[in-house]
Amino acid sequence: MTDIIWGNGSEVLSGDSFILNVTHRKNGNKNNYSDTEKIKIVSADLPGFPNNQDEWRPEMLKECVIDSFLKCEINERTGEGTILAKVSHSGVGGY
Amino acid sequence: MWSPIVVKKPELSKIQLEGLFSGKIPAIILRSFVDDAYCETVTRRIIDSNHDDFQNGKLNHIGPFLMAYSTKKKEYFEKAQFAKKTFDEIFFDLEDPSKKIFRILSGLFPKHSMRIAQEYQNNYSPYVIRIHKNGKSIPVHKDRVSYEGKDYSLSDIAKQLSCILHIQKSEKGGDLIIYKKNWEKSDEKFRNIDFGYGSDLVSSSESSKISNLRVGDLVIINPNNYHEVTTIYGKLSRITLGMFLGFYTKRQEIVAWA
Repeated sequence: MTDIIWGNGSEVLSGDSFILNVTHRKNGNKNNYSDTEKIKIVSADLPGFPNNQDEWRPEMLKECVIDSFLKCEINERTGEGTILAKVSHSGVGGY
Repeated sequence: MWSPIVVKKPELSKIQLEGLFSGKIPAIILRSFVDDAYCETVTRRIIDSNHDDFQNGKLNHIGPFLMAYSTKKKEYFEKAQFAKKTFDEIFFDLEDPSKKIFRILSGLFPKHSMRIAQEYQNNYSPYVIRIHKNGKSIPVHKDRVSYEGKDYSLSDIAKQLSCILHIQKSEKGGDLIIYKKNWEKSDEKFRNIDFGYGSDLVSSSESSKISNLRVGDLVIINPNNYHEVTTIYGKLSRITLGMFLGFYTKRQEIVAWA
């Protein structure tokens, strides 16, 4: 099972990486996650953000992740500590 | 006291609608917008129709809800097309609720054109019917297409209102609570994982609880005000029809969707 963390985006570092302020962790995650994690996006499902990686720009990412509530499904953590994850906009499901 | 205005159809005024945008009033209740016979017929047909199970069967809907397809535009328009047939059956021989709403608005906004929203050749769903059963509640939330519907062309509307037609009442509960607090992006830190926001966000805000709604009433709110629905109890489901109105100021156009 994939580890999942949720939180709000705080700082954009490049066209595909940002800082996540972690607020929720899935019960049963295999690994531990600190309150602030550096995320590198491997795939994105964010309103207003293109699917095509070639089109990703820091300004666009800023618009989509700063303060937004995000779900990060984790692929792996690199040797430098960056988390590679699928990032989606969380909590918009409906009622 | 922050209280809704109860009006009869011909009495609705533009000033009252402005009161929703300014936050002066929490809601407008259009009493007996449709009559009991209309609601009984619609309820019977809804029960006989196929529902979409939504959120792993926790909710029953007829028609897609855009926010649930915020990044799945193609799927949303396919579902909207599919739902049209069901809506046609449900409202066969009856006046379509969107037309009834447009008719009232056209008196208030005579220079505005009104239509169900479209994007290229695709029609948005005109409304969504929600069948909420015993034990269900809707957590504190807001609806704001300009934030969560960025992939859709109508996300550039200037203002948004929400219309909720009450088709069947639950035996108990299912009250609408509106909070005198508008969404701000910094509120996103209060998000629940699945849907809505933690109640801490609105705990100190003034609120208005609307528990005197009758079958056939239409409630209009500013959905950028946080709102929730209390737990529904009893054998009868709470059945509502929801429709958003988007106002384009410069184009003088009003569009509807769900």
